Amino acid sequence: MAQTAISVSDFSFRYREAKGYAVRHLSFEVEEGGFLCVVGSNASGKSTLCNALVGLIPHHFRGKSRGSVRVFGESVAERSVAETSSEVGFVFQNPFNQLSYTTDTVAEELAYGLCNRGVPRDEMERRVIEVARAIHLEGLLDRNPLELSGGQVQRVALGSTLILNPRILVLDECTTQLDPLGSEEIFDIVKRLNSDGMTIVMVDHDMERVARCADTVLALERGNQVALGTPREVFGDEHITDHGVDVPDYVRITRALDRAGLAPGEVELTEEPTVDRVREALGR
Amino acid sequence: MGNEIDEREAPRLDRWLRSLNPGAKLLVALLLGVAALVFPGPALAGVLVLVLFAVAAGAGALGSFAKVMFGFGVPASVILVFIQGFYGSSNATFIADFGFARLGLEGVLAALKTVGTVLVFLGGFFLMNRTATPSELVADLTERGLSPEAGYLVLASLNVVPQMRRRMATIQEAQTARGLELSGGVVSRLRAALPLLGPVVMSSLTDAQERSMTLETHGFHLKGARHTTYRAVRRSRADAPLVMAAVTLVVLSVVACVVTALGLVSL
Amino acid sequence: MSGEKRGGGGLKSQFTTKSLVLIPIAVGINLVGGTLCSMLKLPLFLDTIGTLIVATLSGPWVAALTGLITNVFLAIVANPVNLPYAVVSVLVGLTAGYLAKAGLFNKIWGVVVIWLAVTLVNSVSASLITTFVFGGATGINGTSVLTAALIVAMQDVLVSVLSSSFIESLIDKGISVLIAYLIWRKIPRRFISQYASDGADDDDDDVDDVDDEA
Repeated sequence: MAQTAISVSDFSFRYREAKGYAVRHLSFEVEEGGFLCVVGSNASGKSTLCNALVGLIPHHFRGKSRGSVRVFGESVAERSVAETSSEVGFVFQNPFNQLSYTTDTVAEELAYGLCNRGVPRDEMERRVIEVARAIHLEGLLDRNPLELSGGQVQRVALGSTLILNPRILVLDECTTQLDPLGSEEIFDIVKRLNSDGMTIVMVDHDMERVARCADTVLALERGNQVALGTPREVFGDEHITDHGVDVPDYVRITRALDRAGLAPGEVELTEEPTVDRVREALGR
Repeated sequence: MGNEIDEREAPRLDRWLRSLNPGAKLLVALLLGVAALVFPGPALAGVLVLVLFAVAAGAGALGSFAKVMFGFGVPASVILVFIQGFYGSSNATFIADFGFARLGLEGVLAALKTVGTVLVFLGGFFLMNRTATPSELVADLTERGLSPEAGYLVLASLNVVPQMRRRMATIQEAQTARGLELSGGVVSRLRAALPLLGPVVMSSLTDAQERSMTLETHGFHLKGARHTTYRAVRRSRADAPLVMAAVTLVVLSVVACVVTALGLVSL
Repeated sequence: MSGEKRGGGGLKSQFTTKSLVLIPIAVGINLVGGTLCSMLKLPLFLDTIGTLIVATLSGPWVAALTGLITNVFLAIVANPVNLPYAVVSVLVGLTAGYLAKAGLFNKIWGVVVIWLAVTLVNSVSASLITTFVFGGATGINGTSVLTAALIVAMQDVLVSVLSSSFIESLIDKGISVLIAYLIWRKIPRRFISQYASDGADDDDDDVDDVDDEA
């Protein structure tokens, strides 16, 4: 039996001086090694949830919170963000705001979290090389991080998080500001980390990608939890789009084929079975 | 800052300066300035300025060094000699009469000393900045017990400013493309200040929010943890003797100051 | 819950990570003011706008530290003459911070009071440093030429420095306070509330309104 990595129970949060709650009554669990994707339109509470998972809520953001968020059984509210950060890594949208602004080189930037933990220099050097190799930054170690491209900086941000050996990685739209190549690079790394056993929570707009990778999908609408299940369960529900949740194009195509009676059957989430169904519909 | 030169091709004195411990260099620069400040009259400041010029020349940086030193020294001397020389309250010995006022020796010396002392600090900092990066200096000071917060403030300020200047230039282009008038009368130029500065400030505030999240999720405020540095700090056998020499100079200057104040010797 | 970084706006509570990160940004705003002046060819400094904004967001001591770091930065990177004037920047930060804390940044007459107070503090403290540390001037610019002219007329260094400094401050700080005020009004309240140093947090709210639709 896998251990429960994340446990959110009846969690609600309202930012100070905000009119309403940003999230309401969220309840779900993620098992260790799981891959949860959080979907929903703008202002549906996805970022608020991420901030809560890493402890920035309630420690950093002021406001009123109810319910609990636990990571490996420990409440994030009862530990500092710094302590939680040893177990939960966090990467968000804007790459350049994830730099420390205190370093001259990528190597130093990667080591930043280790410096804050008083790790001796020889061990830092070893781990910097290790992480740089894992996320393809070897050639950039001596460069100034402020002079790199967005995609490269985002990999540096990911590396400076991974160097702390977190067991959970929270990614809040971390590829939104990157070009397609840059985001695929990040994404391949995340998939590999997950197959090595790391628990992933990811907010993403690319529904094809969500369907391909997630084992669980959590859909939010204006702070409310509107669906939780496997990608097939969530995207297969024909009313999910009423909640402002987008679905992969493959779902739309196969559903249309089914309704038109051209190729009856369940909806498909990925490319290949969809192609097969289209072939079937065309009678080839 | 000024580290573009390939270290292998740099003059020997330059390489030697770079090999020194950054904290020691800062201390020496400060102590030289203090010595010039304490020593009675402008003599020591003058000597130290000449020494700094010689070091800069030996390190192959005479051009940029002279530009900085004269850029401040000449106008500051002109205005201060005017103010202090003609109107200084300590003037007793008059060396020239210009009709509208008489030039006093004491005032001129005081003006020269002020400018000279600032030049010693200016030159010392220039050579330090040229031969050690700020992050190297902060790493050194952190190892010596500087708080991580103070180190953050210095380094982040140095890194943020060029970024904000670039952003300002970008916004200027965007706003002029939309027809914002940057020339014309003082009032219309003043009106342009807000559309230029406003967006820079607003986006910077959002950045501040996210960057503080980054510090927290990287354990900046981890309780009880000692901070270590990734960068190995340079040390040299010459560090201690240099600092000792500078301390000695300060002590001698204090002695000279006391002796003069007691009227035992007049300079 | 979190227990930390709350409470009555004491010195320590003002220095959260949020405020710490705000300081280099505010230093940047201070220095970009100078870039702005050269861009628009204005004979001004506008180097306290960041300090003023931080004063309203995070209080007097964070503003004071912003002023200090701005001058330390200028001393190291540009010219050591800026170092003694750090005292001036600290005093301006404290003045603006305490007046903002008293709510003066929310009223037009309050903004005028801040302008006059900052002008007074700035010109008096800067004049004392210019006169007693540097002997009357630190370079040739509009203000020092005015000072020299006043000295010729009045034969008194301190009074001349004070007069020219007051005139300079009145204009420069007036425009700085005005710009800071106009920007401050545009900052979303929700953002400001995340920085406010008063400890009134929302947990004392009795009504459980989670299910109320906003």
